Order: sequence, then C-alpha cells, then structure tokens
Amino acid sequence: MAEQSSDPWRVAWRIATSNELLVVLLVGIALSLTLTAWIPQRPASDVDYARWLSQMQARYGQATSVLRTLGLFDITSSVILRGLLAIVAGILVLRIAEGIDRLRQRRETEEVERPEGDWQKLDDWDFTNLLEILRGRRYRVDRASAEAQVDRWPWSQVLPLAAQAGALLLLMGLLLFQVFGWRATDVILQEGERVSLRQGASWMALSEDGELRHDPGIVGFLGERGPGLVVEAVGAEGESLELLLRPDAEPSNDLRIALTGDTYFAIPEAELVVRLTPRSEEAYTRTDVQIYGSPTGEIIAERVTEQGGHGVFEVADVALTFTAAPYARATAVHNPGRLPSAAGLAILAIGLIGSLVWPERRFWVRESGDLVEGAGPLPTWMYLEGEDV
Amino acid sequence: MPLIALLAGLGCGILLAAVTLGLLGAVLEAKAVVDGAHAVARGAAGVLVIGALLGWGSGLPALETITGMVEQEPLGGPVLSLLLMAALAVPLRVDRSTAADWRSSLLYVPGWMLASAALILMVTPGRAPTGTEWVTPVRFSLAVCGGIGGRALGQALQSGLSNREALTWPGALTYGMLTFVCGAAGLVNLWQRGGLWVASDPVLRGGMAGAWLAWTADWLMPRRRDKLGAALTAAATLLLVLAAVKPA
Repeated sequence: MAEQSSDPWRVAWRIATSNELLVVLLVGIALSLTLTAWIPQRPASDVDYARWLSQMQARYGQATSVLRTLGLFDITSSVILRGLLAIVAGILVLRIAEGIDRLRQRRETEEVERPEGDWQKLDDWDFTNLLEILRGRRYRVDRASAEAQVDRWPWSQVLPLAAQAGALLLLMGLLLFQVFGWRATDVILQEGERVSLRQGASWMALSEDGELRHDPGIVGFLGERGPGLVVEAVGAEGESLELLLRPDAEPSNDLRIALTGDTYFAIPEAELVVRLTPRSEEAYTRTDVQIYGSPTGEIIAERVTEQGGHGVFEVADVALTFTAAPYARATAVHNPGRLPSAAGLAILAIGLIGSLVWPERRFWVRESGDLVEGAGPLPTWMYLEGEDV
Repeated sequence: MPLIALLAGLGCGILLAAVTLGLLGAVLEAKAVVDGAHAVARGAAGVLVIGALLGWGSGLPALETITGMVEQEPLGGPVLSLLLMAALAVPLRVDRSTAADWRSSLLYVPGWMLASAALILMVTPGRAPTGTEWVTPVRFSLAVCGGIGGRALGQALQSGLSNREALTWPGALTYGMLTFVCGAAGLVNLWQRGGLWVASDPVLRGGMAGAWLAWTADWLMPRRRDKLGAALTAAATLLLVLAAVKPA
C-alpha cells in the first residue's frame, strides 16, 4: 500500500508506526512490570523505608547494593520505564493520526480492490444466498458485477483506533496522577478525630461509629485497625487534671492516644508519668499501665485495663479513666487523572475486545458459472470441512 | 487431598503417554497411533478437569456437600491454578492431518508440564498447601486465561516448527479474557482506591500487567514471523502462568 520511498521522513514514519517497534517496547515494559511482582519495591512511606531496607539486606545480602544501584527496588519510578512509556505514548499519537487518515481515505474511496491470493472453490454455496448471509453477519459487502469485496469496515478500523486512543488516555491519566496527584499513607485516625492533610488543603475523619469521612476531592480508605485509648485524669478535689503527650504539645484534659507502640504521657500537676503498652495489635486488646513518679522515676503502680481497653484506676490521689478508642490506618489519594484513566481503560478494553471479535480482514467472493469462489483470508465457516473450532 | 493427587498423577501420566504415542506414531508413520494419542489426551483432559473441579470446589462452602462425599480436604495455593490450567491446556479437537506428524505431540507439552508441576507440589513433603484463601474470582480467572494460553502455546509450538498456519482463536480468547480481567480489576481499584495500582497486590499489579502487555505484543506480532511469534507466545504464556501461580 505505501509507496517504496527513500524519503527519510517516510522511512522514519514507517518505523515509528510499525507493529515491530511497538512489540519491542511492550515487551520491555512487560518485563519491567513483571519484575515488580518478584522483587519487593520500596514502600511509598519514608517512615517504613529504614525497616524495609534492613529486611532486604537480610534477604539479599551483598546483592542488595547491586539491586539498589540498578534501580530494581523502585522500578516504577525508574527513568528507563518512564522513558519507554513516553515513547509508547508518542507512537500511539502517530498511529492514531495514521489510522484517522486511513479511515478518511477509505471512506472517500468507493472502488473495489483487486483480490489478494488465489481463488478457491467454495462448495455448496449459492452466490446470492452467501451474500445475504454475509450481510446478516454484519459484513460490509461491496458488489461489482459477479464479484464482491467483503470486510467489516468501518468497525474493523474504528475499534483498533479506539483501543489506541484509550491507551493514550490511560497514559495521560497516569501522568496527571504522577505530576499533580498525591497520596498520604498510614494516616492514624481515632474515632471522633479529624486530621488535616497537605497543610490543611484536605482532611479525613473517623466518626464515632467507625465510618470514614473525607474531603470530596480525595478517595480515602481504611486499612488495619489497632488499639487506642482516651485518657482522663481527675484530682483529689474532683478537678480535671491537664495531660501532656509531648513536652511541646498543648496540655489537654482528655488525651486521644493511638497505641502504635509504647506511649508515655505526663500529668504535671500530680507529678506523674504514665507508660502505656498494648499487649497485642488487635483493636480491643488489654493495655499494661505503668505509673511513675516524676522526677524520681520510681514505679508507683502497675495496672492492666480490661479487654477492650476500659479501666478506672486510683493512684496517688489521681483517678485515671481509660476508654477504648481504636485507631485505624487510613490512606488518602488525590488523583486528578482518575476519570481519564477510567475512561481510557474502558475504551481500551472495548476497542481491543471488539478488534478480536471483528478483526480487520478483507476477502472476496465471486460467481464463476455454477461455482462460487473465494479469495483472501476467508472465514472458516465458509469451508465445507472446517478446521478445529 | 489424596484423591486429587491421584487424579493429577493419572492425568499427568496419560498426557505423557499421549506425547509418547504421538512421537511413536510419527516414527512408525502410523496415523492410527497418532489418532490414538489424540484420543488418549482427551481422556487426560477429562481426568484433570475432575481434579480441578474437586480442588476449587473444596474451597467453596456451597460445594462442601460434594467434596465431603469424597472426603476431600480444602486444597489451596498454586496447585489449584496449575491443575485448572493443565486441564484447559489440552485441546479437545485437532486438525486431522493426512500424515503422522511428530509435531502434533507438541500440542500436549504445555498441559503435561503444568500437570507435572501440580503433582510435584502436591506430593513434595511440606509443600502441599491447604486453605481457602486462594479461591477468589481473580485467581480463578487468571487460571482460566493461563490454561487457554497454554493451549495457544501448544498451537504456536506446532506451527513454529512446521509450515502449518496456527489456529488463532486460543490466543485471541486468552488475550480477550485477560483484557477483560485486567480492565475490570483496574476499574475496581480506580473506584475503590483512587488509583490504578494504589494499595494493590504486587503480584496483581506487576504480574497481571506484565502478562497482559506480553499478550498485547503477541497479538500485534506480524503472523509472517512464525518462529519469533511462537517464541513471543511462549514468553507471554510463561508470564501469565507465573502471575497465576505466584502467591501474594
């Protein structure tokens, strides 16, 4: 179809839009992505990175540094993979332009082409009946006297074009997420608490009944849950005592504490420091409570909350009340490319599956005396004895 | 568990016999022997299908009555996927060649290898997994795709080593189903998690995506390059099988 030409631009265009080049690129991307299923990738959160790295060093030993240098621990962020994706996007643009041009040219061309290949006999077919059956199967039949050209135009060209457009839209969606989107992982939320994200630009909250609420511009979902407490302290006179979680924190009459590990808080007015240690990572586990005098550091009392975290203890004229308030780890995602990605994915899938069902195939049939003959890639059902179906 | 292991062993042995009969028929130039090999392979497919259904059914509460009748304990892990893939990889009808051709034995090699891997996993001490966590729609879908992909591989091996044009429907069906599964999984993740791969299982993210891209490349490969096409089909099938059997 294309003229043989030494024009370097035509040569470059043919190479760029060739199936062979796309195959090579797709195989390269496929191998890169498959490696991510076999080689653990670095966590998104920097907090977990140190622990993850030590696990990798224990697993891979001296090969760890080699794998890090090669970028195999962060393949999806590698320049090579992103470069391949960018090239594929460029090629898709060219192929879509070429496809639109072919569609336009074929639409304007009405003449029937010469058949490719030799004519074969098709036994026991009536020519007129065969054409009716072909039309019934949604083929386009262009008839010129006793010969007919049969194909599935325009769908056989539109569907692959749609698949390529869908793929391009999907890549654009991924790019939008990469450039303008963000993700916040391991956000600790306790029931009744609201947390600001991205310097107040967004928020998430966990209601009293455990339901997640969030800014409409993000997608939030909950992960694992763990133990947590609400602590209140009352003095001998019945006055509410202030509690301090950190030296630089604001004092509070009730503290919400997510027990992600050993946690300390202070009761300055009573000169007490309290240590909380959950017995497990379950949401309603018992918690060991150790109360120290300050500044001596001597242990004054040791208690254990009930199953579920509840407990009321009187120690050194202070009544400590513990109420269960499990925490949940939440993730928030802001993805401006969500809609383009979804649309691209849907169009890509429909285009591909449609192309498989209605492949681009053109064949010819003709009436030769009492016989019907066919040329080109004929469907198997047109033969009297089919191959494996 | 012993019943499924018996069925897997029986299916594996019958497939090996089919491959051997096919080669023998080619050496002796006896078409009847080659035809017998095809019939024997169909029997192996039936045995493996029963084993696969018992295995997958043992993980479904709705089928406890049936699996309980044969005293089948819940079986889990890659063994289930391998059994199902082996059963689906055996073609039930083949082209009736006018001459005994040793290459027709290649049709059963992928099924035999998958059945052998399942059998080895089941009989190796300490490696036979149990449990029902493997029985999920995505795992089942991947196994079905892998099985039909194995059939496509057999066809590609046969055509790559001969001048025969390969059947295209097994590869097309594999690719179409895999596209549907990957597309649906991606859309669900976009809806629930806000991103295509956010919080997704690394196996599903990397394995499925890699396998789908490899099958896309196989679909795009020009058919005139038979041997290269067969090699690409083999690579694509391998990636799909690995994605189907790799634990999370």
